[in-house]
Amino acid sequence: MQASLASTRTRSQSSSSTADVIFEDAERIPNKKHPLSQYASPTPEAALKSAKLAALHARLSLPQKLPLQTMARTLVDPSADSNPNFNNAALAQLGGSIISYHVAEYLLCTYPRLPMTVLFSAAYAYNGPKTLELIARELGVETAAAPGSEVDPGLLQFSKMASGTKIDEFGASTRPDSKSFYRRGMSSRNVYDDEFGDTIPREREPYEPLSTEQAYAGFVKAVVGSLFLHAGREQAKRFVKRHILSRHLDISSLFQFKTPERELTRLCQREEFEHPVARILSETGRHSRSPVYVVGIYSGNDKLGEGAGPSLLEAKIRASVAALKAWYLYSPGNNVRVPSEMESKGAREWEPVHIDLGEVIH
Amino acid sequence: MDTRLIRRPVLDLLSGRSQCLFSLNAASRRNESSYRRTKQRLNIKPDSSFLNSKHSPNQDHIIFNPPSSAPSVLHTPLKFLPKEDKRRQLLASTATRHQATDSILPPPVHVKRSVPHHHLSEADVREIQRLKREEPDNWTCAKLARKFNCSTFFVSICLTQCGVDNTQKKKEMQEKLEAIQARWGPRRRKAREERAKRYELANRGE
Repeated sequence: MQASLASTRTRSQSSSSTADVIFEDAERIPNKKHPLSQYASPTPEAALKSAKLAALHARLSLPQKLPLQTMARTLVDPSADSNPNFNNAALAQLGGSIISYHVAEYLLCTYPRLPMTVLFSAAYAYNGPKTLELIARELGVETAAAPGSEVDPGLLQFSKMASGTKIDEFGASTRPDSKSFYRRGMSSRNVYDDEFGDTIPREREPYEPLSTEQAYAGFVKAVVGSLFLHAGREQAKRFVKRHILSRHLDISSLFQFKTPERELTRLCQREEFEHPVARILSETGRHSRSPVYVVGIYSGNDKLGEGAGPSLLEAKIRASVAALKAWYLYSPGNNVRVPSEMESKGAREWEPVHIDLGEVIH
Repeated sequence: MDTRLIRRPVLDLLSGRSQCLFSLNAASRRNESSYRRTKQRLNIKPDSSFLNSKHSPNQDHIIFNPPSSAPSVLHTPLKFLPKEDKRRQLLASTATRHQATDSILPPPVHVKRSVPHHHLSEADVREIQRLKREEPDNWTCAKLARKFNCSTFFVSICLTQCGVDNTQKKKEMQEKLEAIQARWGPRRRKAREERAKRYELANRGE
């Protein structure tokens, strides 16, 4: 019976104890499974009986259109079950692109002047693997000690890395110039790298163990993907809005300038404003041990930024940084319309959003 | 902008928790050994400006008097708003109303300039480059600046194009600097390190 099931479901790892099973992969994977577990992951029938899974479905207030069986599938990582019909790889791929689309359109429409570095960092803070892990943990998803068919389908299943395994950051990637990775500027990141400006790792073997962070991130992406498939575009967008975009991110803390005064001067030249001039707004204790200067940067009669510091130079730098941040953090408003709003029925006519010239090059 | 990618801990970024904790700690610090003494100590007479006097206004309106603080970077100045933005007209109308009262701008920050600016011609620049090319060891940046009465910064810009290989010289200078830094005592070293950190924070605007 075991052999017949294995042939119908073609689970390469599932029943390696029997001799008549043909392995799809050339090398034999060491079997660490419990002798009672027949398959690599719980069966779809088990999903209907799991209290944990039903509770998770209810807690996330997911629509009834999303069946428990699919919900169970989102919790099975490719490292637990390498069969693409039973793991969440496809769902995660779909959900990941939906999440990054919504985050990108939100960021680009709300802050149209953000420099590329800040845009990458903001995207990473919103839907990077670390944040997705945080979200999955907040949703109350726990991990199974080891994957197998006897495990409760409400637990996240993946093969864990052995402790002490080195996670190499600069491993094999899909970049053509992977050998000379020191040539990684912003424009090459745009072309070759992922939505956070990080290298895309080369395709892994599906059964390779992976970090908890990646497994949790895959789960959240797979939930969005399954919502899209079963309940539609609107529901997927609603989930992304509620769980990811609703988080508060202080974008002004992501900036780091090298020569802010020079950059501001170049900006004023480019936009044909008057030359920026630093002016002392107020000061105290000039001849004391701890003086404080408040300096404002003026272009003509308009104040662009203001900063306080213990020396005139530092106050000037702070004022320039404030002015540059004020430029880059321009936002058309709180409720800017995003392109995906046009997909709903009866949407108003699209008004073009503000598109900026780009960041200051100096 | 810095071309490096800035990665900060996600937990810090996504929650203002660090600030909240700090403020809580500052408020709930208890120095006295008993509750009664703490309460007694905290029972301070309020500042006279908080008390009602016969001069305090009797009108039924709100007085908006925020404490002095750095303006938010999220408030885009009028000049930075794009032409099609609706806030432009609103801000412009208030700006014209305020302009009448304070048309005098505050004094500019004076930059002491020991050497004149923009006084060298093309020929002078070529002369600087020629001198350096002929005797690179003799004509240092400072010497050239003294001869032509200009800043060392300007000389260094001119010398980037003169075609003299200065990698060896740079290496020597770096070694010299490291030797000097090795002689620093703990106080000076700490002061320099702290200054560097301060400027890094200033460049981030924190």
